[in-house]
Amino acid sequence: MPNTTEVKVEQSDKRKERAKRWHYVKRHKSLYLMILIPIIFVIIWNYWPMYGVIIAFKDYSPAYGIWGSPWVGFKHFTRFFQSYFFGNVIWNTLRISIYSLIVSVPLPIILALMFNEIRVKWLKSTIQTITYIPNFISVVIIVGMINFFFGSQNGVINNLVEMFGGKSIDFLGSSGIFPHMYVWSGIWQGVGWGTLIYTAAMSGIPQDQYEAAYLEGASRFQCIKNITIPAIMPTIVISAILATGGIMAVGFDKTFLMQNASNLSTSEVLSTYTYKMGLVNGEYSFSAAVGLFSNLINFIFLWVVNKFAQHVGDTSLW
Amino acid sequence: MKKWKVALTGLALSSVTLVILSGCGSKSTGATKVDSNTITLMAPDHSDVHPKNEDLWMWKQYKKMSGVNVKWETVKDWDQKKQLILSRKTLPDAFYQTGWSNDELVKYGTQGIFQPLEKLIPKYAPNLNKLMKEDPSIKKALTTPDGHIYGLPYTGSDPMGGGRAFKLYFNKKWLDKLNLKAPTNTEELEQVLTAFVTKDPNGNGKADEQGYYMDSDQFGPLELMVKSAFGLNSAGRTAMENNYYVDDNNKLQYVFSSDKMKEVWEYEAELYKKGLIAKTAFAGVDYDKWVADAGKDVVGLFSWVGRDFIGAEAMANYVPTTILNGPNGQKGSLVTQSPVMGTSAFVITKDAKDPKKLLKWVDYFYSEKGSEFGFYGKEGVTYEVKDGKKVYVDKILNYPKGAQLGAYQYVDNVYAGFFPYLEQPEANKEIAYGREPEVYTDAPLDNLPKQILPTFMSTPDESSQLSTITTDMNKYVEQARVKFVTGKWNIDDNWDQYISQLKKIGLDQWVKIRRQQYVRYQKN
Repeated sequence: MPNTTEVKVEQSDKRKERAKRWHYVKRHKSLYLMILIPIIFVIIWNYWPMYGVIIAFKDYSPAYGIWGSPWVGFKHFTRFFQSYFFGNVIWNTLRISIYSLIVSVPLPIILALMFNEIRVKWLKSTIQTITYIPNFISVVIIVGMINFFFGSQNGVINNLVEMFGGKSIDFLGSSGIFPHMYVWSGIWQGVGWGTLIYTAAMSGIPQDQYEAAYLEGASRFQCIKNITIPAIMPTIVISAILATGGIMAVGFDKTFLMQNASNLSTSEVLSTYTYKMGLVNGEYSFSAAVGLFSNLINFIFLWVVNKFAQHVGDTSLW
Repeated sequence: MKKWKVALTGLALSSVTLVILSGCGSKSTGATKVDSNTITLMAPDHSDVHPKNEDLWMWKQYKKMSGVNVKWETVKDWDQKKQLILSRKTLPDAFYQTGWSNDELVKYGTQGIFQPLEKLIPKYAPNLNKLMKEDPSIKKALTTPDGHIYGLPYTGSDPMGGGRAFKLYFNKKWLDKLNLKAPTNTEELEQVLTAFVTKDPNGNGKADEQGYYMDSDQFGPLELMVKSAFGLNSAGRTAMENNYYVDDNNKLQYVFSSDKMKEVWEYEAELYKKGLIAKTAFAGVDYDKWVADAGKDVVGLFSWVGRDFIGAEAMANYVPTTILNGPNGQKGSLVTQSPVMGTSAFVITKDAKDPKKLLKWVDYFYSEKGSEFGFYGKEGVTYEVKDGKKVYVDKILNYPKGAQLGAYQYVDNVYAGFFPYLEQPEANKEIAYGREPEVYTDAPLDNLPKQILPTFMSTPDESSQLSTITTDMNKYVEQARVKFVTGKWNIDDNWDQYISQLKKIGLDQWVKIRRQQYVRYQKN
């Protein structure tokens, strides 16, 4: 038999607790109001549109609307899986994004470490600014620059090659070179910007650690290895995890712009394929199905890598 | 209580935003009909290059002539928005000059969004009806598998008109300098191009001359001409563009698996190997760069439906050949489209209260008079008759950006497109612009394709099967073409493997469906 007084005490405790919590909310009402704005934003722009995902399981026609279109189950998914280019497209996507992951995760770290070692302040900030600038150039212009530099006819690089008696290399039309062109032009554009988050993390390292190490006679490399890198490790892990979450998302714009008939066998990725199959032919349900599929893969990757990070170290997303 | 108010206001505000946002999607302008003499039309927005439709001279004039008041709604980026527009509660009475694919016509027609017109046309569109009687292929091209007509055509009877025929354009200066005649067959073409790239016809001492040279997306035009030379043009250009042709036994075949295609690619590979096709044929040159290069006089040959594609500056220097014959006396034919150049020029929707009035309104433009009105305008206002020929008035001819754009400031049917019109013959149009009509090096009308097939209408089931197979096959063929032409694949060694891949994608199914459609087309 339960002790009634105990129950009462418990209840009044709970009530007190609730009142306390409510009081707490009231006291920080302006903060809660502030967070309301992003919450509403996320609901409207990120969660509400998700309702549209159901067209992946329907034969969507604007005549019937999202809800009124007939259900077709996994028809669009099977069609995608059975399509001739399914394997090729997935492989191309994975190849480019894994390649890009391998290069684009460590390079900004190395560059940020180098920035961190520059002692002359004006030199440091000048170089940093210069490396940021490409980030603000639009993709169309980047691709224009690629054509300008790497064109097989009158391209700057090929002109040089020919000047020294070499044979012009078909950078733009070769399916073998396409992944390199794609990834390294991305690095050129994004590496400076990518250092920002690490620079921020490094600025949080207390200077006295370095001073102490210096007094102990540590070299610069030892400082980097034993102070800087461990300090920014959580940031590295988090941004690596986040990067794997986009494994199936090779950007549409740049790929599409760089694509041509002769590099198609390596440059056709999920996003461009979806565009051709779905949007050009007006098949929204099919596109939605492919989109949902690739997001699912992304999420699985993210989850697995995150689990792995939890297992190995102590930094992870959740 | 005060904080509650704040929170509530916040919520209220956000829900208001929601309402406004969702309101945007279904905003309807078709709902505001004023009187029974007003029709609402939706058209693509060209207000960046000509006056708004309601201010265009021709539409103001036609309002007086027809007594019908048109309420225009124009749309930018039509292709991206058309599906969204269909989800509106109220649609405009009709879509004017907007592109719907045949598949879309069938799909939305069956779903009841577009109105069937085949019964109304004989009564209320006498001019169009007359055209359809004169040329049965027009009706055939418009009729869906279940016997309906959902869209009116953009049509014309001149095989050279309205951008219907592809031609080979040769650099005239070079031909003259090297004392060469424009080639008539594939062998001569090879000789001429060889002379172009080896004998320095532009005289600058550098070997910068190109044979066939266009921007990298445009290998197709040359291939169309070569296909015709090797006998793949038996059903016309539209058929070739849809990858079918009809063989000697009147059987429909897939173009890219035929033995004739093998010869086409062999020939192209030969040209490519000898440097007679630019090395940049598949990558690296965009349209602007090409036009700039044309200005430097390095382009020997290009292929298009009109010479102005190469830019106003260089176009005068190119002379068109219309038919390329094959080797050993094999005859080619004119690479021209079906007389139905568009099947969705005017589409009447479910919300049109009075489709008869709409039909009557648009039918005028299918008459000789209306066609002239749509292109020339009115005598004394927009054109004059000189030596028995209609020429635009000076204010149009002297328009800063050219006579064609000048005419577009007054009349509507200037740029061939998805117009609900009967098109004027090509030579007359050139004269109207104050230009000499193109002089061909050969006689285009001497050898027309045996028949000219349109893009067949598919049933919804057929189109859903075809769309996957066609997209995949096209992609595969595109890759294979590059490999065959550039010599990465050898035709003899790799052909069988290429065919077996096509079969894997679904070649047989594709041919089966297309044959079925061809039989249906012949019966129609």
